[in-house]
Amino acid sequence: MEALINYLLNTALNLHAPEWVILLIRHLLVATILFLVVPFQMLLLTYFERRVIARMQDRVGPNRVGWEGVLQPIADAVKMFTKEDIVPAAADKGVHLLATGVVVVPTMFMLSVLPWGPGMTPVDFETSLLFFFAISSVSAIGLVMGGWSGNNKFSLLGAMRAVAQMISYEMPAILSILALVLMTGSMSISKIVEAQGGLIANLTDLPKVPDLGLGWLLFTPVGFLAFVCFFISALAEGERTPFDIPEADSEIVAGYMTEYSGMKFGMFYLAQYVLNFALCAITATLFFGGWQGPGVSQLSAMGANNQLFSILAGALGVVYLLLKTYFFFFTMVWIRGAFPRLRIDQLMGLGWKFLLPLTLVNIFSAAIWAACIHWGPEQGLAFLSAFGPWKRWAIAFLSTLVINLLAATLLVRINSSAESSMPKLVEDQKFGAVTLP
Amino acid sequence: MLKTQELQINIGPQHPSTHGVFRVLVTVDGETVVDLKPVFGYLHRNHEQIAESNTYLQNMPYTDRLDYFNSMTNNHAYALAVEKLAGIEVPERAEYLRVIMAELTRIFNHGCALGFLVNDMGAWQTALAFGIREREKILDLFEMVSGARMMCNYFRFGGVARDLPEEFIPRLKELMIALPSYTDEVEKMLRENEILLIRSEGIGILPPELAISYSVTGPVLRASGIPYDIRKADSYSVYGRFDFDVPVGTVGDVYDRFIIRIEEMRQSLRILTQALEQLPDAEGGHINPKARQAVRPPVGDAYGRVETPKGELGFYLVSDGSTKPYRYKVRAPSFINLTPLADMCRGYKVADIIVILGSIDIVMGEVDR
Amino acid sequence: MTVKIEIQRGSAVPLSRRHPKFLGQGMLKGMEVVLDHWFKSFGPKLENFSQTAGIFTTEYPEERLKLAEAYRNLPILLYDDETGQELCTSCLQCEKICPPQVIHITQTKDPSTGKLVLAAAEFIIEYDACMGCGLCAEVCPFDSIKMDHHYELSTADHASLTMHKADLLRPVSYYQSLAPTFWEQTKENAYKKLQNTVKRRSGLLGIAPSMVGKVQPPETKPAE
Repeated sequence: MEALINYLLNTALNLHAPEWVILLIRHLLVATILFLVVPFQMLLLTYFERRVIARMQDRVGPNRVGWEGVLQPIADAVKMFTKEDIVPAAADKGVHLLATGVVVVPTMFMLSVLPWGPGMTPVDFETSLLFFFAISSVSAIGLVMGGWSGNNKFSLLGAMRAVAQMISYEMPAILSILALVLMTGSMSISKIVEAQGGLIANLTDLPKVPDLGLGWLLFTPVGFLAFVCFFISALAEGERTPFDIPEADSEIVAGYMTEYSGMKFGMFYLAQYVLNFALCAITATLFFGGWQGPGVSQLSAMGANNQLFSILAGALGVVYLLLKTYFFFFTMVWIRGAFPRLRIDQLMGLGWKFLLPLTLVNIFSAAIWAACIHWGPEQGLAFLSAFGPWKRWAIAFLSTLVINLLAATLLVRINSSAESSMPKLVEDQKFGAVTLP
Repeated sequence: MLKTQELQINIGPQHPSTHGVFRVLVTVDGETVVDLKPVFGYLHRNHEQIAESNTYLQNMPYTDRLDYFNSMTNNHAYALAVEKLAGIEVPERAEYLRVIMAELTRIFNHGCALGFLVNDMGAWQTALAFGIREREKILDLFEMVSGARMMCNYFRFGGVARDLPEEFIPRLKELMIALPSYTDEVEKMLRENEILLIRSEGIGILPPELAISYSVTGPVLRASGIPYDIRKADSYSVYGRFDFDVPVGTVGDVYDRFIIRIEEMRQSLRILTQALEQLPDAEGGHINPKARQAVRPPVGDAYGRVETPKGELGFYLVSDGSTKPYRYKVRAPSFINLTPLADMCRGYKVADIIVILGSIDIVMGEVDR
Repeated sequence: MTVKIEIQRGSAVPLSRRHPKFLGQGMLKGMEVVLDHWFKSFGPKLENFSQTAGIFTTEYPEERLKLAEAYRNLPILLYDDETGQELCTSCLQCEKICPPQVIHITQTKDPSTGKLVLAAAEFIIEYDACMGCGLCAEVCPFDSIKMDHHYELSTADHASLTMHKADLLRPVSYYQSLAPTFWEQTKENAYKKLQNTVKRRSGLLGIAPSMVGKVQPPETKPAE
């Protein structure tokens, strides 16, 4: 991209622009594209969700505005804009207004570190994974601000629940990602994606496998367990069913959004869908290879000679990423269609008693994996280099599989036995004591 | 121990999941319910007083509006009461038609009640949409016979308003193919769902002694383990001629109230199958011709009751010999089942209130009257 | 534990509580059902009562449910197509039976003699308060008042919902198109009664206002 701008400015227009101008223009362009794409994605997601869930319930869903109802979200947005903005008289008006911004902006930032295609990361730096999760938790502050400033018990309860949930699920989410960091040895999202080439096993582990872009981390026991834990945490972070407790409509009306109306409500809505999109995208990126897929690496290799092929590779990568992202969003909608929600204490129990220990065990297996694959004489484990890469990979696979399976079974057993000690059932003594009148 | 302060929350009267205009004043300690006070009366329509100034037949359409979900069974209870009071005979065919309508009502009411209960737990309408789907079909049938989908006004003293149209029986037989697979599907989808299990098992336990002392009836009572069903205990209409079981719960929690409704739908299907087999032909007539004119019952009183999907619905009528009831009293199951709410909720979490309320299956039209 | 209490023709069956064999089994089953419905929603629509899957929405303004003959919305009055004679004789049966008491009838008096004529001078039904129970149509001995199938009555003008006789009158052929079998059953009886009624009417009394001028008034019967 820099090359393109450079060509336009310096060669075609002969302006002799310095390098910082080119960089500035590049970043401005990327930011504009992102800010245009993101709300558009949100509109598309709401439409997608409503249509899919309607079909799961034998209904049609919105199909009136435009062809098959595709313009429905735009009609909704127009409605949102034209509605009266009501601020409660007892509300803290400044905080009330500010909260919407604090919620929306971080979710936009999250998308800036995602690798959309080969070499298409808007901002690429070494600790982008850390940045992603750090910025995502900023919006929790916005939720508290929104919930508190409305001066309403329901919204305050919703905000408390939201923050408790966000904080307790950030732990398992980050810990499960940590396992991946151990496996790939990098905290840069784009490097994690690049490491997922190959077929079933990735190229760094087994250099000789064909590169079909299918060496997804999901296919390892560590990656699989991390994926399960992360996806559950992502559902909780994005406040999706069965963890949509902060805005449980049947209990606390709309949670922290109760006192918002018009476009301010729309902003919360936007933030939520963008967050969901970002979480789906990061799941696809970290566990399902992101833009990796059959053909992308071959095309970008051809791109060394012809610029056209690298553009094609980028486009294909974006298509792969979006497909995977939408698959995860479909799964979220699917889960929403099938399940009731948990209770707040059960949610906390699941997070702290089940997911957290599981992810800790997973980090341990990830360490074993990294040791089996990468370590050698330098670490004093010279005997490992006696095995070939296939053998080392098989040892790593089996040992982590056994450890993870054992841990999961054990934790399920511990947790289900704790649940059965709930209020004593009166099964044995009462029935049959009363006869027909 | 940390000192905490109790907080009062007002749930309702305008709230997404109070099933109408119902208000609960909850005292909570954190998320735990310390005390709960139901407040109702927001939908009071002066039903009983209006009924005393109307003639007996004029009240029939008003009973539709008590429990607006199950107008057929409301009609049934009122017709029974007046028939008892005035000593009106009912032709056999009419009795079978009444049973068919009542059991169809029970099936769709339970289907939707399950859906609403799961909705209260936070599911997004799917179980409800399936229930509504079957309800639509049944309402089509109701429209065919009575002319209206919800406010059927189909029963008359001494029979029913009109006989079945020709296409009714074939369509009902088609529906009878769909209903068993619907119940199986709901059961498969939800009965073993872990989230539903942990949300409902051991929640809102109503011990049998307490249930009896609150005179709770219907699925809520049976879920507490007491096999009391008016169709068996005080067999009215032609229910004595059918084989069916009374499912009872073992614990009396929300989960029992959930699965008992699935089982009752199955039993209703059994009754429907038998009723269709035994249905006499149209020669006997669908209404007692003597009873078509204005009813003028002798001085006295009568109590007619049926097992509606929600419990025992009874009408107590006192006649002074005129064409209007002297006293007219409704024993509404929703109202009486709602009274133990505080005892069921105490000690559970705020989110459980909604689930327990949903498991009672109330209709505010009947609670407030 | 299974205790069975025998009650007549059937038994009280305690429900068994089933738990999934492994964690997630129940959830997967639920997801399977939902996904199955998603796939089937692309298949044929739900039209037959025996189906349990497929889209069951009726997309209202374009598609409409076929109304049953017995369908009742709000009451209308009938008049004969050919002679324009109203079937109503203002016997006040419907006014008496109406539960919310929204029917108001003024009986006609012969201007020359001052005697009552078997026709309604004014017939008001308050559509806004009518509950559509259909008792009036059931009780009418002359088959004059029937329930309409037209249900799109929504309006912003509240006063227009007080329907006068001219708004309520419909030809018999209209009702026949709505409910052919019902009309077939009562046709003979209704016309017989109408003939009797017409004998006791004179001039334009009892002729639907829209038909005045289009039909010949019946010959005035000779004064006694």
